[in-house]
Amino acid sequence: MTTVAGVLLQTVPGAGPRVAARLAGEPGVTLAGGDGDARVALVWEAEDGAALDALAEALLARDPEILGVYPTFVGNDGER
Amino acid sequence: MSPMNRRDFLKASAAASALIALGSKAQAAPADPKDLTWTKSVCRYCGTGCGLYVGTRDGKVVSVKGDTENHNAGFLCLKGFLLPEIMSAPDRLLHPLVRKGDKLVQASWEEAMALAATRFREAIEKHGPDAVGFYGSGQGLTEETYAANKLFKAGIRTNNVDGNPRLCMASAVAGYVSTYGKDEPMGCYEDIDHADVFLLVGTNTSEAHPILFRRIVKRKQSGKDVKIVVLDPRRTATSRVADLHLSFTPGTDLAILNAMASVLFAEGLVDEAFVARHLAFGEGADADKTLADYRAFLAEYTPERAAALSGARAEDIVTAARWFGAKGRTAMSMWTMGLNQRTKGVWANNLVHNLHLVTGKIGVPGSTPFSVTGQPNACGGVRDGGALSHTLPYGRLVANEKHRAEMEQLWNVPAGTLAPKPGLATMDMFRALEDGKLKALWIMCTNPAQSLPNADRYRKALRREGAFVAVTEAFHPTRTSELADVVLPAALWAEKEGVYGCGERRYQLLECAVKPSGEARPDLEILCDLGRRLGHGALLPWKTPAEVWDELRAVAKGTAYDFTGMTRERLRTAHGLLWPLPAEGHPGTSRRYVKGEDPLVPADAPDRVLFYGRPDKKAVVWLRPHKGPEEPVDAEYPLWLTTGRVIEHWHTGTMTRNCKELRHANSESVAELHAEDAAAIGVRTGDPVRVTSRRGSVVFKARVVDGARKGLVFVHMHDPDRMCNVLTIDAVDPVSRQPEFKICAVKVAKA
Repeated sequence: MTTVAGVLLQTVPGAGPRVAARLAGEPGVTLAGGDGDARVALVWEAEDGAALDALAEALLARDPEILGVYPTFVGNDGER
Repeated sequence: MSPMNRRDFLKASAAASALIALGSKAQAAPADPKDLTWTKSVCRYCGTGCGLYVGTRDGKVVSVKGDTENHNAGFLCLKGFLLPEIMSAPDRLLHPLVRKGDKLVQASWEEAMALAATRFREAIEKHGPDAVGFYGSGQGLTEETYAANKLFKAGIRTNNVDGNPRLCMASAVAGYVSTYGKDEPMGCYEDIDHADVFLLVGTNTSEAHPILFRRIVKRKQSGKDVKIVVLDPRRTATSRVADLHLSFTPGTDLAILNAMASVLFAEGLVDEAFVARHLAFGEGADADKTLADYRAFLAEYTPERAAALSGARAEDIVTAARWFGAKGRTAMSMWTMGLNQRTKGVWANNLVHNLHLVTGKIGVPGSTPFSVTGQPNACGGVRDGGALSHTLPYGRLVANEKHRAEMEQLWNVPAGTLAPKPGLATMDMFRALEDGKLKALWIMCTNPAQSLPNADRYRKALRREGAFVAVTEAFHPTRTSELADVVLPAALWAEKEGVYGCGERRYQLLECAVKPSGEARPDLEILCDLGRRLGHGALLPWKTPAEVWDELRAVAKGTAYDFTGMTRERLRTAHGLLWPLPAEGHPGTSRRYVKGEDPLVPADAPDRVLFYGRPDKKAVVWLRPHKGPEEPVDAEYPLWLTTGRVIEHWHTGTMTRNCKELRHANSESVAELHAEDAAAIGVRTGDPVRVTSRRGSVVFKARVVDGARKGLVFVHMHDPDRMCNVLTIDAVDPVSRQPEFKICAVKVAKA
């Protein structure tokens, strides 16, 4: 089963593009858009919700330019 | 075009939601988090009660962030994330208004308060105390609601105190009280992390309570063979993650729930020892039946008969019961308005409790019946605080002489001050306004002219010649403030301090982060001012909300709600505390009625649970027959109408429609139709359709959706320009007095 989440990241001003570029290399991350300044919209896919939580926590811990991680949607595809 | 598989659909939905959140323009973001002052608070929206921090700079709210140490683990939904925008919305009311002819014009506080007090005093002097009333809110702070309750019941001496929780959770209250003798859930959010089976009844958790839904999804993925069963006529975003979705004809779920109980007995899934030790059985209002009576009653509810009544599949009812009752597995039920907003809402609540009771799946981690709450302080302020027309604080009842005497002593008023007859419940209150028995009404922090069922009827009542209506509100115009005689600017959320109590008995302090906008004042100050002007200042002597809180702790002491240990200082540092919490060293109570957790259960109690809410210390399994809705479909009105939330908006939209990102998403209410119903009248998505009930008619754009049930129309509830409640029925549950918002009959035509 795969969990799919829509996520909004808030960054410090001007850091949105940099953060997006760094995240582009993360497995399961698809960039959906950004405002060119301080917000990045992402789609995350992970094995389960716990993995998504762990990724969110890791991002907040390791990237000082990320101020907040806000899920806008969580679902799973029910396929095993 | 190749068909979209489920994962692609989810990715598209996820991307769309994130892009909506992104908005067309960036929110003013903090320059650096170190520049901000962070103040601990709670989300202003639903009853989940997510902890958050309010980020301020230069006296303005500029950001929020989730509280990682609270139950929401730092997560917020989109509405919570966008809270800063509501604080400086262009329609914030900054000055008092009084009606001059057809217009509301700016006035001083003195002019507005003097006018309101004079009209209330005149009504009381000429017609008696029951000529006035107070209509409050599950969004007011606990201290504010308590002040209003005390002023009206002990000062003015009327029990005409009610609030919008009557519209959303009164049936849940009556369900808990009739079954266990005490209101409020016995479980907690942490139970989600231990549940093996979720029974979600009449709740679109995914959209209405997204942070709880996230936790459910997380549990489904981390637990072993976790099952989700959804009972809902519609195929919602919630049912898309379900292992089993039972769609049924609106109003027939009582038959399904009884049939599930029937299967539990038929298949040996009942905990006979638990039944024998802890349960009583009842019918009507009396717990005078037996287990044999109950089994005979259930014999009528075979899965096949329930299927015939409901349109669900008999094998699905059996599967749901087997999953729920499986030995060695935990089960958690959750429900909201689909169950409560019904003329048989209390019965429906009873039937969910029955499933837990006969299986013994209650009072252990992961097994609990849990009514999820729609407003941030409906539980803490109105339910617990006793601010309904038949209640007094902390489980006491107006009609109970001993309870009245206790409150008279606590409030230091003469014996006999409190009137023994319950006051007017919400719909009765607005009907009394309509027929002239109620002369003056004080409305605080709510928008009944949009949110009441059969709204046009009561909009006329609010403007009836001779009626006087005062509204305290943070925004203007709302569909209620536009009808008022006096509109007073109320401080909003982070502009004041007070306590919210959310759906799991968790009390949390919202600290004041910024000064009120314009001339706005906290409702507590406004009510104290009113009390002084009416000659009841001695009843409301407080200088700060903290002083009110100390009085509240004394009022709750010794009751089943006891939170004596929740000092203001403790609330300031804690990330929410669950009552009962009777002493300062007590950690709070995750699960009520449970030995070793609930301080009200003696340590030497013989069993793992003690249902101390009733004199016999038993919970009641009620025999509640299937009964359909008040207004069934017929040849003239052949379609069912139901209403509800979407994820982007909340209640009447006064706050969410002030967020520019949310205005781009679902701000216009639409009528969702099944493809065959749409085809029958020749409409496609985007076409205007006129939806007509026996009470009114509204034009919406049609949206043809694959989740719709044939014969059912679903309309969003948030749009002040397309008010779904012009259509809804104002029939009420005879016990809870909660209206049947969720079901009525309509016809739909191309407009």
